[in-house]
Amino acid sequence: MSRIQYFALAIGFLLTIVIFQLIRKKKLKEQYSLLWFLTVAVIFVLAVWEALLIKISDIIGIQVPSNALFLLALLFLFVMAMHFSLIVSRLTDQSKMLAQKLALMERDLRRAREQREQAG
Amino acid sequence: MAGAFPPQKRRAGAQMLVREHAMETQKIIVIVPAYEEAANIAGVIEDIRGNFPAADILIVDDGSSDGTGKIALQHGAEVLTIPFNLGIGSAVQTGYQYALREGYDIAIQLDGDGQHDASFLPEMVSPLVNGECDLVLGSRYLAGGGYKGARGRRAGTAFFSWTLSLLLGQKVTDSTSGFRAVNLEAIELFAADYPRDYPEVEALLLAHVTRLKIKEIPVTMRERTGGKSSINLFRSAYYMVKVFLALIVGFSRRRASRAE
Repeated sequence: MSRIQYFALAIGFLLTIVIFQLIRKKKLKEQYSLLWFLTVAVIFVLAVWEALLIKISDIIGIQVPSNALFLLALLFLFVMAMHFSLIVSRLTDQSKMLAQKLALMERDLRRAREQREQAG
Repeated sequence: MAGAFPPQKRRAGAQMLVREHAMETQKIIVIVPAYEEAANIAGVIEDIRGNFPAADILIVDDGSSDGTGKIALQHGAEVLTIPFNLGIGSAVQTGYQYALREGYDIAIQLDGDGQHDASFLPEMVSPLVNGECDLVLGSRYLAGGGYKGARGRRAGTAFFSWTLSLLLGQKVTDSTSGFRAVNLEAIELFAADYPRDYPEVEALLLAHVTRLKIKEIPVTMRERTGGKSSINLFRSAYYMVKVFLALIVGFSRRRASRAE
């Protein structure tokens, strides 16, 4: 194995530890960690199986394998960003509904207090 | 502050007519979305009360930090306080949710900045009471005279009105007007689904897709008297792009629902 392969493996291990720690400290939700573990898995596979990257480059018609790697990385980041956009959209919707519910309930509470004051 | 908009009596005739026919049977609410309108809100409340006493007034304070909601409460209006700024569309939608829950038959939307003249309220409501349509749109461009808005806004409005007229198969002259009155059917629709920001054009398309009938009536609007307008160049550009996209998406939905 070449030096770069060892380096890639080291990064893979490091990422695994970081992700695992984040989940353990409950800073990262399990459901969102799956994508990151998948990333690490891809890094491991490509680090160990050098021929795979060359094969992939051949298939998409890229002459320098490292460029195929960059392309894949870019695509992956794009998917990640999209994934987060979807999550943010959903959270925005949920927080909107919460704010609306709160506004309505606050008014009900004020009304109930006023009625109680009038009665007592 | 309370006397900023003296009640106008020139439409007293129409007001009496509508009041006699339906005011006793129909529950009417005026929804006023307000963000940082402490300078205007009292005048708006007095304006509505003076011109259309039959309606309840709901101020939706969209996360203002200048005490808009407090002033509205002091002036005897019903107030919903949204904890942070959601955007005018979501504020209005909260008002519709309230109207639906409290069993109102007719809801009127009137901006909190004092641009909309409450003396038109009886005229806005009467087509709904008579069952002519589901949504009444107050248009600056059907009437002669009055304040027509800044030039840039006018051009944008004209563009959207033209596009919307094409999509709706019905002439709309003031698609960006936030001065509207709707019946229960539209209240139900808007309580469940309403665009979040710059909602005016999109909401009309939404109403059309849901097969609601829209009618425009002429109104005149005032120049704003206090506070500051939220329109600037960047926002205008965002407005254009957002609404245009919404129109395309809305139209594709319409086609999809037709194909079903």
